[in-house]
Amino acid sequence: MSNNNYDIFKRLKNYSVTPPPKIWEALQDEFFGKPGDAYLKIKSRELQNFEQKPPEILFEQIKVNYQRENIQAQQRVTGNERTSGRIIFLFRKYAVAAAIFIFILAVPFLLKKYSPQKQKGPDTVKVKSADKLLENQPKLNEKKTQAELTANKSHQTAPGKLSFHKQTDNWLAVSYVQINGDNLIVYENDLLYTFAKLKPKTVPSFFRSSDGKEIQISINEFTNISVSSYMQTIISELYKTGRKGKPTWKARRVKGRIEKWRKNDVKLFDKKMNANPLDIIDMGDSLFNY
Amino acid sequence: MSKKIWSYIILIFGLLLSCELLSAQIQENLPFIDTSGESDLTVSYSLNIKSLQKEGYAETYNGGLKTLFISKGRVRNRLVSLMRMQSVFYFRETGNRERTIAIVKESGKDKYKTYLSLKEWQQYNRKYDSSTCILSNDSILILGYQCKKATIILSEEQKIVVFYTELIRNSMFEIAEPAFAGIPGLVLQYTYENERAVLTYTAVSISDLAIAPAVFQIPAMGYPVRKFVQTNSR
Repeated sequence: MSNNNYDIFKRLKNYSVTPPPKIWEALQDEFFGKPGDAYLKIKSRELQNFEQKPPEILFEQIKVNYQRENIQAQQRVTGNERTSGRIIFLFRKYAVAAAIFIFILAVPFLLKKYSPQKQKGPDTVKVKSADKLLENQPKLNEKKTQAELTANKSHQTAPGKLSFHKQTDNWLAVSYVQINGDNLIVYENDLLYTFAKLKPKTVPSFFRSSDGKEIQISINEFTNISVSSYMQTIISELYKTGRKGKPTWKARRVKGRIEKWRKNDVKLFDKKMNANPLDIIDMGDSLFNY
Repeated sequence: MSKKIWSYIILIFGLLLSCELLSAQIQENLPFIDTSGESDLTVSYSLNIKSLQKEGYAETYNGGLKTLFISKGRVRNRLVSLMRMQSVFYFRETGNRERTIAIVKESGKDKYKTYLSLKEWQQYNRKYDSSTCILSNDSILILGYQCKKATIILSEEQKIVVFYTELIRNSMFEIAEPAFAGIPGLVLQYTYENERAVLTYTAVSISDLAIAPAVFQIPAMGYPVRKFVQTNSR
């Protein structure tokens, strides 16, 4: 049905009829009489006084149109309700944005609240451990310095059976070191010399094992050094013995190499004093160009 | 203005505020901050040597530790390794100007100490006089500190790449490490590379706890004084 209407309108739209000649003049005569009379009628305002009662059917048509428009208006209201869904969606968007905003603000506070207890660097922790060791000692001063605590800890942890070298006036002198929990007396503050001097029978187990585990040497509270895997191999070779318990040829060779390195080291950094081992460039250039 | 614009403004403000709070939080978690140079300072650096050729001699220094102590105009820079223990002392206020610097070899049977004047120390480190320092915006995080990059150039072959924090400053740094004279802060990592190896010192601990005066005491017994003599050739 609707298609038919559409077709009719489409056809009507394209429909055209050429009016007969002089139709306009004929129509003008029909409505306004002779030319010139219409102009005179308008001028004399006769149209203003013209009245005509509308037909009864027209009122009914207006009434129907009004009701139709009313229904359409109600339908529009329903459509607006649909757009209110969009408003709710926008409101949700704002709510999400507000939640994100609150979350962003809350993160630093949450971090602060639930972060681990503030540590003042590794040394602070160490000092606390030293404090524990000193619990049974008479309290001389509440606030102890780092080195004092270090010295106290050294005396506390030193096993009685170890005979220490006389404490020199070098505050950081190394009397012994701890390697993987075992104590080892150090001669002349010299770690390499100490390791080379050890007799095969007294060599700690960590130098014998070949598990590749890194060896950490703890010298004092703030000094831990690690032994590279290469040096671990070299040191372990030092203690290899033959059938009669004497060092093998390889062990003697390794000892000779260490002695050679020692001489080079003295030559580079002590005799000429042109290079400073604490200077990174001097060290880098000397170690590989000796 | 529409509600949308207001919401954007509030969101941006919130983001900025939270960034500020986060950075404050990060700074609060740092071991400490000292730009005045008044606190005592202990920094330990571990040494890592990488080389394609396994030179045993260099390996005796690999894994070593360098500790920098600074307290009230006094400095002790101490290297501990399998091969050697050595310290450099500096005293800002000393009765004898000829003994401003002391180099003490602490290990071995041939321990000794050598005193230098400030002028001799400068002469000892003269290679850095003509160095140039290029600061960069690249950065890495070391021990919680945001460290900026800088390159110290001595020559085409000799360059030190450093990472430093501006949150810790001390006028003693340039005495302790003359290489870092142009660095505006504390260096927490530095690398030197030559054709045969790469050496890197990286800070492993940092503390502002009080340092006992005895740490700055130059050992007397068993450490004969050797005159400082520097020859031109190595």
